Amino acid sequence: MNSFAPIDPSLVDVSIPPSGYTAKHEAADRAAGAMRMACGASARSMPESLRVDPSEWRARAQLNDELHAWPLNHVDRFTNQSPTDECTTHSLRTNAECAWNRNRGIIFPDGPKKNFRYPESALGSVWFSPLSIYSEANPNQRGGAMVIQVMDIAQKRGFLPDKIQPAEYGFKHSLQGTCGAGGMNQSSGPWVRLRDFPAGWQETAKSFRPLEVILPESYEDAVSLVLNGYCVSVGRNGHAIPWSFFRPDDGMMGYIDSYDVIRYDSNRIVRSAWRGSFAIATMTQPGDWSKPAG
Amino acid sequence: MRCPLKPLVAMLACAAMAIGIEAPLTPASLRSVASAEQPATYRAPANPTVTVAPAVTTTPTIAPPATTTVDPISTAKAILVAPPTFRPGGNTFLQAADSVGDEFVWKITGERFVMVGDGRKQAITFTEPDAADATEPFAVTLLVVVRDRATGVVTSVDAATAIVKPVGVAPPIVVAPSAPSTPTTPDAPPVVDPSTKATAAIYVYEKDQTAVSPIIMAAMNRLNRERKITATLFEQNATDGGGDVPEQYKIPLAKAKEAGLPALVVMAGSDCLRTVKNPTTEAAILEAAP
Repeated sequence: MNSFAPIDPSLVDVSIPPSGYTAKHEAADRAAGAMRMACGASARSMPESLRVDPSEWRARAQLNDELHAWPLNHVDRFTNQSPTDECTTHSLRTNAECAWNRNRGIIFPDGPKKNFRYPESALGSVWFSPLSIYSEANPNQRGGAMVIQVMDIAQKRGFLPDKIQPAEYGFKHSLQGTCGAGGMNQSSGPWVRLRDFPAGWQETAKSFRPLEVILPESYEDAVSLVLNGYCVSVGRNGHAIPWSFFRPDDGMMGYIDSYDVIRYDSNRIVRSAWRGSFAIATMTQPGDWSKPAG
Repeated sequence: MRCPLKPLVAMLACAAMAIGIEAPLTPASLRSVASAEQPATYRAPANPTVTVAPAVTTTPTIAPPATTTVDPISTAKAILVAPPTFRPGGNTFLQAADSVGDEFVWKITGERFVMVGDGRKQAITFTEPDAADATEPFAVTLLVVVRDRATGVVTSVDAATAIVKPVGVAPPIVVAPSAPSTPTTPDAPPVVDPSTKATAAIYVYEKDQTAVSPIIMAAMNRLNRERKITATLFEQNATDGGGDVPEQYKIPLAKAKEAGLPALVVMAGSDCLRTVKNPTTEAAILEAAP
């Protein structure tokens, strides 16, 4: 990982076909107080301890490159939503898995890689199903969902695990990850309504719930969170994504896009989009990492 | 033992000659950030993410190089803060934040180091901590340069040097477990069977007070990957799906709170082997869970 290396300009400020995040969604997510309300009891203000002075951003980015300390380095897989409208839930799952793996203490030196599975994922990485949130957020399937909607659902009752996992965890309930393309590390399947979830699913989902969610209060807060290894999820330009590393020289944010690819937001976009963003600090934690749902 | 000053003299001469061209040690330019604009409303963190032990800094008595017309002691001011000791296998930070100048040039004797930073703060890491001469003291020199803004000509130079010893760092604060069954003398180390192998290491923290540093994260990753110890982080308010403290974290949380957060608690099954308060280096983590 080199946050100073040249990048392909075609990966910057990419406009993609509608992926489930509209201008109406964006306006609602950025309304004052909306995200705090959606987070409920899990909402947290930006801790002073996590603020990194801008004069230190460059040095911190160098250190993160050396030690693989970006949010990207706590995410071990891509997901692929194409051609569905599930983007806000894919962004949410990346944020949640980053928090989960960060506390599990495992670093994935190259971040997610297409068609690749890290052996270390079997040490306790759990793959969450975006569909398990989206089904409730939008029962009509088409049309997408707001960031605040999916966060509200996740922090109240949690994710179901994906049917594909890096280890045999003995889950009693699981759900396909997406109705989209999926991939080697994400199952794909037909649409399923909330009422058709496997009986008793709440017992499993409660083990995978965001506990504390930090709400950045400025552009500098958003950058500081990423520098400290926290994904910052944000909706902008018709798509919701998780910022996963920062490039101090040009101020761009790199993100793990839910199309098996890393892309970038220019600094102009980052400075306008951070409002309505969030970073999951902690998830529920298991009594036994080999049986994360008990 | 090699004298660290001999290469230092040569090094200072080279560094002074390099003032005419940029010869930063780090990949990027080392221009001072003192003149960089900072958002007026953004507050610097009250508690730095990295703490560096105060150390004695010295200004060398070496005369400025004859090839320049620089007044060695004028506007430029080099203030170098470095820890007096440095454990091989770990990382440490050098600070020059209070220095005054336009350019910061760092030099270090020896070849087994990687140094990164923005000029005002550098992180150094041994690349070969097990090398035979990894215990040799080494010299770190900070050269601060002031240039005329209009012409770019150097008008002032100052330097500061610190000698850092790679061994003998003060041991981390170790909190003994509850009183052993056999009597011990006061201040005796915890009674722990040296053959007991650690099975888990838990870094317990409060996220509102502690930004877990990349160095700690890297060390925990090494415990997981290399030593096959279940090394995890636990935010003190985290719960399981039922709202309770997860079973595996009940004892570590209690031990860590006794010692004061953040703390690393090393377990062998359900027994606490040791608690280390506020470990800040990779070495402190790795040594606590052999």
